[in-house]
Parts: sequence; structure tokens; C-alpha cells
Amino acid sequence: MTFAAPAPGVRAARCADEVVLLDSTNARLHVLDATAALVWHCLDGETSIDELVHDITAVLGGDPAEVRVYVDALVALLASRELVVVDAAPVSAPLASA
Amino acid sequence: MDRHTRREFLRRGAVAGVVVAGVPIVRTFDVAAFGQAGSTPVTPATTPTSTPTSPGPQVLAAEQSPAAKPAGGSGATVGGSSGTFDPGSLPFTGGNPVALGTVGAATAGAGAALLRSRRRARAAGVGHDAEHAKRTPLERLDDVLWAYETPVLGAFGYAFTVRTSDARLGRHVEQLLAAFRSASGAAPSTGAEPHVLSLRDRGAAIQPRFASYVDDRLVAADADASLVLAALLSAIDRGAVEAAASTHLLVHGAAAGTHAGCALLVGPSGAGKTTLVTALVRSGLGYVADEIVAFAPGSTAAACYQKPISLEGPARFLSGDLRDVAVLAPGRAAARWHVAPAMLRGDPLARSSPVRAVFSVRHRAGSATTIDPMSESDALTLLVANSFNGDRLDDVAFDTASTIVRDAPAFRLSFGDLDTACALVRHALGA
Repeated sequence: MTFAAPAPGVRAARCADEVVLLDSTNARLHVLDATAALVWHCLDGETSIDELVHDITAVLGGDPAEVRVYVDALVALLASRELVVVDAAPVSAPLASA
Repeated sequence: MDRHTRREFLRRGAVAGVVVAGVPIVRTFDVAAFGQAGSTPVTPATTPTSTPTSPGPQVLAAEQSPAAKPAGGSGATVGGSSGTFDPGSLPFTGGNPVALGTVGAATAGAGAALLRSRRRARAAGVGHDAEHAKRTPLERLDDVLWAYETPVLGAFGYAFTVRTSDARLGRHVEQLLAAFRSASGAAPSTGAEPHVLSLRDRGAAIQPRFASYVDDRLVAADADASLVLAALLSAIDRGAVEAAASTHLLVHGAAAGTHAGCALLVGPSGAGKTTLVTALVRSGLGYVADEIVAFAPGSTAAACYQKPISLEGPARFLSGDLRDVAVLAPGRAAARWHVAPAMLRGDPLARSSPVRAVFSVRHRAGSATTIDPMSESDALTLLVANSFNGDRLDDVAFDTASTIVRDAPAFRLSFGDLDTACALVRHALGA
């Protein structure tokens, strides 16, 4: 199983249905669109990606395989920008600002 | 987040029509490092290089001695100009030679050389102050007969006085800085010695004729007094930013409004913020701030920073009737016009007031004036990316910025016509 949580030093602000992340470690801003923002808020380090995909499919519908591809791609993208930490075990998430 | 809470949260996404599929969209922006947001350095006038016709005072000799030049030889004198500017003394962009684009590659190179020489001096154990003292010995400035000195003024905790060798010039400068005597710029209670800013007319026989200093450090010398004064005003901006950066969100912008709220104008240097805030104040709105718009922790009220209005380039001629009150020495060319807020209209100063609308401004001469709404995320990005301390915001300052854009609508304002732009801003404020 895979778990993901916001990385330390990353601050989040909700802006309507989007989210703006400020990474204070490298002074970069990241704007997540509504879909990415929805998933971001669920990355709490305690919910596995499998469980999250299951819940998204149950509530929003859609093809589970497509949802999985999206969530995996988003987590990989966020991890590549050091905005989330990913682990095989639950991750303690820092307190988010939003 | 427990499963029930998560599913409730996801249901809100379902109501909003979110579909989780496709390619994730994440837009990334670099935030300018501290010192890179803000006005461009003053651009020295293009005048023929001249040679002093007399030996002049020793201070000039010190400035021109080879020992005073950074290794690499070019110094900070801009090619083709008689002006001398210390890039390290200029705020914001001046902190990074790479950002000195408007002055040109030659000056940027000079700035880099100067900074390198300073680093070498420090590495060799030569202190910053010692280096400057070598260039412009303090006792020589103290030997000057200063005709005028302002009381201690304050800008966000940066305490300073300004002295001039010409009383008329001194009175003019004090009028320009009058707002820094008021509550908005009350003298700080830090107990620190105020900085001494000096503006010297060295007489027609010495070229460049005018020079300015921060404490004992030469920051500018030019035949055009307006540019030398601009360097001092920039030094005040830089001091204010450094004094408040650890406690406030500091946006590079301008603000004008009423007691009920203000318009926050944001944009890069040359976007037309000062031009527009000048027109707004002359149209009847209160002047809140220019260059630095500060927000205390947790507050969406723009703090007052009522510096002189400085216009340069074509912007001067959009407010052409200000020439008479702006030009230091009538009959001389003035690359920059510095106007006291009180000269814009009677009782122009506003109190700190909450932001009611945010504008990303861009002046485009001759183009139509248009206004379009901005998303909250774009507005937040705008504020952080145009903050002097955007690269070091703490949670509180970031929350402050996000609250501003959540509480106030944001617009992209592209203007070719000042009157129309003023009307649009006033309409957004309900003023």
C-alpha cells in the first residue's frame, strides 16, 4: 500500500475550488485545479491510495482504473516537486494551513 | 480524516461536477527572491562623460580613485554617463545584478563586479564599513557645511534623517517626506541611531555635481539632482522593507481608497501603478501607499506608506501639469519627477483601510482600457509573487494574503486611458 501526505514546509490556501501551495523550502507556488485540489485535501498520510481511489469512485463515480491512473499521476507529480512525502506505511502529516 | 468526513468532502466535489480523470493540472511559479521585487534602479541620465575642471574636494577624489573601483575595473559608473551609482545601494533589484535589466548589461556587470569585490573584501577580513570608509571617509562628509537637516523620520521602523548642503533643496526634501513624520511613519522606538541620508550639491565646478550618501556610503552621483534624490528615496524603501519584512506581508504595489476600503494595485515595475495611484488620488481618493503596501499579521488593511510620488519616462507626461512642483531645479532636465503627496490635491492622505479590490495593472499606451475578473488563485499568486518577502512568508503572512484575495474581488486592468481606468477602479470600490 502507498500513503502520501503534504511535505513539511508546504503551506496550502484554498482559493474557491482550487488550492495554492507555497513551498517555503524553494519559494515556489503551485496552483492545483479543482480536481487536483480535491485529491490534495484527501492526502492525509493515513488514507492509503487504494482506499482513496475506492472512495472517489464510490462518491464521484467514474472508471476505477481511470481514477487510479489520475491519482497515481497526481501523487507522482506532487512527489516530484517535493510537495508530498510518499511511503509504504502511514505518514504523519504536518498541520496544513488550509 | 476519517472515511465519513472524506466522503462528505468528496460529495461537495461531486456537486461541483468534478470528474477525477485525465491529466493532473498543476501550475508552478517561482517566487522572486527577497530583493528582486520592486522598482528598478534609477537610470542615470545620458550625458557626456566629463572630467572635473578642478581638483574638487577630497571626497570626489576618493570616489574616483582606482582603489575605490571594484576589481575588474568598470566600477559602477554607467558607460556614457557622468553618473555614478552603487548598485548594491539600490533596493530590490539592486540586490541581484542579474535583475538590473533596465540599466543594461554593462551596469549589471559592474554590479556583479562590485558585489564580487565586496565578497572578496569580506573574505579577506576587510569589513563592509571599512571598505566604504575607504571610499568615502566619514570625516569628509562631516566636514561639509550642511545647510539643512530634517528631524528624525520613520518608515516602518527604519529611522533616518536627511541633510542637504542647500537649504532650499532641504526644505523641498522635507516636504516630500512629510508623511514620514505622521503616525504612518512615526519615529521608531528601537533606540537605534537613525541613519543619516545626505544629499549634496558639490557646485557647478564639480562633475557629477550632485551626490547622495547613506550614512558614509556614496549611493549616487549625477548631474541630475532628481536621480540622486531617487537613490535616496530608494534607500528609504529598502530600509523600510528590511525593517518590516519579518513581521509584515510586503506587497510591491500601490493603494488608494476611502475610509471604507482601498484598491490594491499590483504589478511589475513599469506597469503603471504609480501613474494610476497618482490619478486616483487626484480624482479624490485618499493616498494610502506607493511602492510598498504592508499588511500586519492577520490584517487585510493596507498600512500607510505615503512616500513621494516619483514619475519617470513617459509616465511624467501623463501628469504633465505636475512638472512645476516636481522639478528640483527649474530649467534643468529632471529624469524623475518627485511630487509631495500634498501637491496632488488638498488633504490627500488616507488612513490605513482594508483592501476592497485587487488589480493587476498594466499600462499600454494607446490601447483600449479593459478590465477582466481574476480567479482567487491567480490573485493569490499575484500577491505572493509581487511581495518583497514572498520567498520567506510564514504561515500568518500567507494566510493574510489568501484572506485578502478571498475577501476582495480581483481584476486584470489593462489601461491606455487614465480617466477610464480611474472610473473602473472607483466603480469597483463603490467610490
